[in-house]
Amino acid sequence: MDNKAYQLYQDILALFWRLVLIVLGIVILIYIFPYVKNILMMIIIALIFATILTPVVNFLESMGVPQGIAILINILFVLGLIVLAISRAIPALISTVENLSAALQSGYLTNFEEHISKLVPKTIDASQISSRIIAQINNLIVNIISGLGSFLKSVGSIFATIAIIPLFTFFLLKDKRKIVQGFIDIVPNKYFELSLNIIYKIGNKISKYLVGKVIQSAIVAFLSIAGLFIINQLFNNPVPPYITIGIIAGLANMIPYVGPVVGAIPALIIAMLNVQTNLFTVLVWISIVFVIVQTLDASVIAPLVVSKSVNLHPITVVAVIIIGGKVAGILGMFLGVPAAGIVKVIISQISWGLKAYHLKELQPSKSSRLNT
Amino acid sequence: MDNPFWKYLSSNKNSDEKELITIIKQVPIFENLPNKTLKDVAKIVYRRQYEEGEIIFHKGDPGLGMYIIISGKVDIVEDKEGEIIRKYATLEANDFLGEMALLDEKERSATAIVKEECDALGFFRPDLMELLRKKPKTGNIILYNLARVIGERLRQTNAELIQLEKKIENG
Repeated sequence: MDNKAYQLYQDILALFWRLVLIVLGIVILIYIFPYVKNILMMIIIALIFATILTPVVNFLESMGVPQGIAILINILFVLGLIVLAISRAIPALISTVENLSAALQSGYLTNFEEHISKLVPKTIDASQISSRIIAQINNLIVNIISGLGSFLKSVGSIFATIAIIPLFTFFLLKDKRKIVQGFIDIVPNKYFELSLNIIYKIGNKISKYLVGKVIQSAIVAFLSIAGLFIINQLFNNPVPPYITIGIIAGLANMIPYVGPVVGAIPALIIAMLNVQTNLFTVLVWISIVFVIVQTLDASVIAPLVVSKSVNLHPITVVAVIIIGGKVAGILGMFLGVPAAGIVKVIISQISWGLKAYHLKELQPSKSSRLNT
Repeated sequence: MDNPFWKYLSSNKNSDEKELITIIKQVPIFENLPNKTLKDVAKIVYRRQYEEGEIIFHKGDPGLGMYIIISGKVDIVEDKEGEIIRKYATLEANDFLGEMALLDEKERSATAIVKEECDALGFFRPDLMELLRKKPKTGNIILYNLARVIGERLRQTNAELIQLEKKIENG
């Protein structure tokens, strides 16, 4: 067997074993996924938190705060924010659901039919439309409650989640370099610089993308709160939990295309329950607020703060939301898009690295110039 | 502060740290850095062992950072289609290579191939940038030293160029 044929045989053998390993890996992943799903979700959440908090930790370090203390301050601050948000959002959600069910039971249907009959031409059966809307609202409430249940179940018990995610986040922030070094130590010299460059680039791009998303969501939440506050002042308080609704709109905005609609629906439902007169005007104004916020987001905020390199195709976004929902309920839908963004960055950077780096061995030359 | 938890929070000890600091101290780019700061640098360098004939980086690769040779020898060569066609220099212990890549990601201008089993330290641009953000004073000293080293190399190149021009003029 000559050298070329032997090399080809070696290459085919290497490719065969690589394929066997990939298939085996996929089978093992599918088999063990149900068992490791919860811990995987916690690691992904912790990774996202760690990535978002890194610039703040770096800033505190630049002010002379020791790294460990800077991380603790950040984690405690985020935990405080989450507790504050939950303590505001859950009572508001409960009271909204209570109000809605009370309204449904106490003849609100008649008022609702009146509202609808004022809004639609007389040729259309207003009672049928209103019954359908009520049925949809009922379904929505059931979905919200069951979604919340699956959200809590999907990340294990609340207690474990509250304890474990900050712990993971802490160690990811504190030992980020050790983790990278541990991985790099096992990489052969041939791929050392390539791997390191890819890791740096992935970290940098994901950080920009996630931090951009958080800033974008915060601005959308703030604008929604401001808009709903103005509507509350103009129309006798049609959306009392406007802060919670604004925060939901901001968070939902993380999910492209679907998020903005999800953000507007609770405000519209609550207004329908609270407003007795001028319902149509109020609904139009609420819609205008969300349209303005979304226009500002699409034309000003997103281009300024969110990295374009992670733009996902609309079909990918919809597919990811559906798959995320199937795998881990509401949390899966929520994390699906950032996770897909992260996967896209990883694939594009690996592909860039493999093209940019020369990985061939060198042969010494017989040329006399070699020793010049 | 004897509590292991607080020790973990306030420090990040490494067994190789002292040895690394001794090596790093001798590199011109890390001159004039206080010991405490050298510890920060020691945490962000990567130590690698290379066998004879292994490539540290190829001509045309995106530049990522510099290497400091602790022991062994490295040839700086030009290669074409997988074959070495010219050797520019042989670097030994305490020499460093690829420092221009600390400034930008431009392609490497030559290939570095290990001549004798080599122990090297890698110091990379993204870590220098992070150091500049986290500890601007330290980052500035390193950048100033880097500018001095590059300035010195430019002076040498100018002198060689003048000598070459004289040689050409004299036939």
